[in-house]
Order: sequence, then structure tokens, then C-alpha cells
Amino acid sequence: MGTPNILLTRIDNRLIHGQVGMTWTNTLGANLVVVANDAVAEDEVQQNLMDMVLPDTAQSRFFTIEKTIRIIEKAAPRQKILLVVKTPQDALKLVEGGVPIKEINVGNIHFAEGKKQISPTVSLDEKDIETFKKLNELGIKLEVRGIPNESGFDLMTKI
Amino acid sequence: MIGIVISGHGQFASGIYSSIQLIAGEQEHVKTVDFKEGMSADQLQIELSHAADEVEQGDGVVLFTDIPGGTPFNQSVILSTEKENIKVIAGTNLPAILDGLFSRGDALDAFTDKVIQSGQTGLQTFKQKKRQEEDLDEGI
Repeated sequence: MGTPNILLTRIDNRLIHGQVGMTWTNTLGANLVVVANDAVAEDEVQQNLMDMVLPDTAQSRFFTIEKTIRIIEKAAPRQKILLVVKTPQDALKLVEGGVPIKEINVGNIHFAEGKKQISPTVSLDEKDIETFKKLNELGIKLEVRGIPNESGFDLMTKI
Repeated sequence: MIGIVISGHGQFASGIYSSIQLIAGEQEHVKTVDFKEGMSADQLQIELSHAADEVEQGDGVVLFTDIPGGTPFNQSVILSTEKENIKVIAGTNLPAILDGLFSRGDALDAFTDKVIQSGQTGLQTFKQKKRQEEDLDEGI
């Protein structure tokens, strides 16, 4: 089937919400938002909520990590994909499973006690930092950027 | 690009703009005019007129206001009778303006129809729907 047309991969603790569903989807011109998350793949309330914020021009799919890895290469060329995951660990699983991700947009990773805050919306614990280092070693560009029209920065410069 | 002015009672306009900034970031050619306590209708009219001139890029201006028949709406309508290419909308909500931000290259009438539609469908309650696995000939 060839390479899926993934326009952007985003890590966001809130998955599809206002910034992702409205701003990124519209700005990129994505017509398919794929949420790769094991819990949400089983949760129809969450799925319905995420659908509400998407424009009519975009469809959604809610797959487990395993199913995403299995199915993504079957994507049609006309499917312009915004791929969203909740954590850096899930992103690493996708990459290690062969999903062709070259670049990751790091959006919201919320603050908690003991985490290292690297931007107003991104805070990382030891496990996150280790995971991002692995992603970096695999050649993946990591950009911290909340919304399209703000300037981002390379995550590796802050860890 | 269509220019946008938002106006309403109190901090409706600056408040709704703060939500826009959080969701979609800083926007070009958008101005807010708060109708503050003690301000006269004439004063509001002057500020609306300045704001409309500032955001006009040659493709028209849409004034988003809060309630139909309120002073921000009424003064905007009066302004629209005096200037070319101005449309006035009442009952503004965030879904209307946010959708509009991504259609600012449209013609003025098409843009106005679109944001009204988005505002109307955006006012809704949550309904749990059974999701169906789609049968696709191709793709995922």
C-alpha cells in the first residue's frame, strides 16, 4: 500500500481538544485524525466528545497502539492524516512498530510535582526524558509547539 | 483577507478574544471593541468605525456582536449603512468565530453564511452516538 500520508504526529495529553481539533486540523488541512490510544479505543464517550470539536471536513479513527501499527500502511493517499498520541511512550511504540514518523510535534504534557518544566505547557519526568532521548537517537525531530502560529523550539535543547 | 471586529457589552469582546488566542493563537486583522459602562453610543460608534478601518484589507469586514438589538449590534448596523462591504452578526459565539478564522479568504457573503451556520450548530448538547465501523473500499 505504500507510505501513509501523515502530515503531523502530535503528543498531547488531552488528545483531540480545541487546539488540535480546530487549529491544527484546519491549518494542516488534515481530513483524517487518527487517535492512537488503548484506553480511548474502548471509550465511546471520549470518542464522541473528540468528534464534536472536529470540523465537518475531517473524519476520526480511534485505534489501539497495536491496531495503528498494523493498519496505518493501508491508508489511502487521499487520507491526509493528523496522528495524535497521549504520551511519548506511545509515540515510541509506534515508531518501534514501524509507523513512518519523521517528526513529532510536542503539545501538552501537563505539569506534576517532580517534573521538569521545559515550556508553559510541557513538563517531563525522568521516563519521558529517557523516551525522548530514544526517539532522538532514532532520528526523529522533536519540536515543542502548542499551536501552528507560535514559534516552536527543539525539545532536545532543553533536556 | 476578511477583517474581523468583535464587540459586545462589558468584556465580551476582549474575553472571547482571549479564548481565541489560547486555542488558535494571535490573529491578524482582528480588533476588539468593548462597550464599557458609561460609554455613549456615539463613542462606541467612533471606536467601531476606527476598528473596521484598521482591519479592512479590501475584502470586507465582519462585525461580530453579542445580542441582537443591543447597542454594539445597533451601532454596528448603523456603521454598515455608511460604509461599503460591512456585515454585522449578532449572537456571536466561539464556534462561529473560530470557524470563521479558517475561512477568511472566502467572499464576504459566503463567509457570513458559514459563520452563522457554525454558530448555530455549535450551540448543542452532548448526545451519545453509537459509532459504526465503516466499511471502506480503500484506506483506513
